[in-house]
Amino acid sequence: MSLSCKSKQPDGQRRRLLGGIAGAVSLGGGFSLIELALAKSEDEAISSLNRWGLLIDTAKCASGCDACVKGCNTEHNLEGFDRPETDAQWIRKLEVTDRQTGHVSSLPMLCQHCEDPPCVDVCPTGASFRRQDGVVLVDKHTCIGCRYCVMACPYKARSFVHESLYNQKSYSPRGKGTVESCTLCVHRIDDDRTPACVESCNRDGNGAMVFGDLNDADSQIAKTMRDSASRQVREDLGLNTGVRYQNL
Amino acid sequence: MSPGRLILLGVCMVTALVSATTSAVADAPVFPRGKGEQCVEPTQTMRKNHMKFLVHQRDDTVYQGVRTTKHSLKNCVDCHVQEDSAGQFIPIDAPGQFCQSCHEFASVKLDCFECHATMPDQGHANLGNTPGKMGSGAASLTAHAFSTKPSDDAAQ
Repeated sequence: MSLSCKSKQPDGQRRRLLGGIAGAVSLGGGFSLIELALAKSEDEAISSLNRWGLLIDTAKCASGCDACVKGCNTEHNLEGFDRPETDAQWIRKLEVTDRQTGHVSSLPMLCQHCEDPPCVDVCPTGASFRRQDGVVLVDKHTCIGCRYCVMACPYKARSFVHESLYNQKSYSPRGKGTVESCTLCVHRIDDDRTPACVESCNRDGNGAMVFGDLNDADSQIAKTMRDSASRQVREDLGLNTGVRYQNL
Repeated sequence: MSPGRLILLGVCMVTALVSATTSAVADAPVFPRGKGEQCVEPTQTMRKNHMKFLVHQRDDTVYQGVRTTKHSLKNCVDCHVQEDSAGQFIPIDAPGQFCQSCHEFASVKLDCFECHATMPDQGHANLGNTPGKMGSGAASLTAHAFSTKPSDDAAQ
């Protein structure tokens, strides 16, 4: 439908284009009106002007398709030890049934990147934190592995690393004794790219996921969310999640 | 004391000093040079302060999303990692490698690589997950040995 090849990375393309324009118009003052839309250079800090989020259309997300899960596992080297109870899982597929109607929806469940994350509330060391751009992360340098956050997360989005690892990716450090969860692929976001799950869904799945800046009124994700209804899972908790679902 | 005896004493002292210096150098860690002409900072500065640079960069990256490579651990690994005769990367925390050799000499536990990659990303293709890692470097080498062990094929 609307997710053609062109629209796979709408924000990146747009930000690069506007970045050029902004560079041209901000020569005199050093202040840019469209600062929000600029692509970040590698030495530049993230900004609260952005809030990254995902929009997942459950009508497009097919039962049995796990392209997003595979994409995530490959990107972060999450291959486990054939112990499903304890293996790390940053994104998983769920089938949810409406008890009244019997309608079944298929959807990926992952860290919802809440504005008010319960995992951050309960962390005794401050390791669990929310970046200024809305991405909820674990600083594994300060994580003591107490797993309070694992219990606090209403979405069961966090995993604990039980065993020694050694084949980590350079951009995704993981280690025994620390808690981890979806990072929304911050290494990609900081590089103006789309998270691995979204890329896989567009390439191998059904194009059910859109990534973008919720604060940018012109981004595809913000436009779609303005034009059509979307929901938060457990919206009763009032967490203002960064991951939203359509047709759920 | 006669001049002859003074000279003899002097020669003895210099010999003792030289042998002491030689033995100190012999104990010092020997490790391969990194790529390129020089490090991102002067050698003496890096010897004394590399951990400070790394911690500073670490917090900038984790909290601020700053991705400069000058003082990043990834940059250290990319520059100082060695390849074996088969062209495979050797984990930088393996015995005798850049990070490990000096830390072993200084008796400082190197725990960066409990979590961080010990080699550039393309080096991981031949290494699978091996449960029961003993020490990161040693286990990686063991895994490499397993992956190239001819009897594995014979047993299939």
